[in-house]
Amino acid sequence: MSTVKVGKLRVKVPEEARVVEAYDLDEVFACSSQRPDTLIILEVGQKMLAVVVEDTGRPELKDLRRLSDSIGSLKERGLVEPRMMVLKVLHHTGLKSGRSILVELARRFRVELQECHHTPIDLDQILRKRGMLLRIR
Amino acid sequence: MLAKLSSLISLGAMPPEKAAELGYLEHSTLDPERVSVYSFRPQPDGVVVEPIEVTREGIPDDVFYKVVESLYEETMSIHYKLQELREAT
Repeated sequence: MSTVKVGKLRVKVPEEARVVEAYDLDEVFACSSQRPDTLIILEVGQKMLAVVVEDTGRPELKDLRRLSDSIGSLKERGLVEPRMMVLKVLHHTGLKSGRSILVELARRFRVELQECHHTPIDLDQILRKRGMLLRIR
Repeated sequence: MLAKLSSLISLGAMPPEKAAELGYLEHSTLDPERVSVYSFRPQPDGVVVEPIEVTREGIPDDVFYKVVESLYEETMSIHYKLQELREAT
């Protein structure tokens, strides 16, 4: 497993994946405040994955919405291609209450939740959990 | 729906005029004292029924977390499988 730094974020990538491109979306979308933090294009076997990451403190509805809304813009700019599988990841520091509502909203927006404190975004854990490293070889 | 019930219980714990400030009439709130919640947990030899404490904060969020999480995992698995199938066509 390797760790790549994209903008202000550090991201753990599984050994089975190759980082094709990594974009700091603060730079790509310089004119808009409504953007996630990072886009990472991974190659796993013959498959391409587009992983969009939003890193936040206390998760809010707008974070989930921003992740989902960004996919169209990223496709329009050619950064995410139609043949790519898309993963949306919300990396956050947790909630004291209301976890059920957060998970239900994440389900609605099809967003992966990862709760961590001061640790890198762990794509290895997400891709392994979803069986993608085995399935898409 | 459960979240809405929980909200109505919380509103019922308020003085009616405070609930009215939020746009809720007294008859549209629920009195926490008059609401009972039970968790039904399947076991190999039957179902365990456990009472859940309802407070002025409503129905504890963690009661339904397992159900919501299970549904979430199911939806995400299907979502990725559909993406794979779309790619293959």
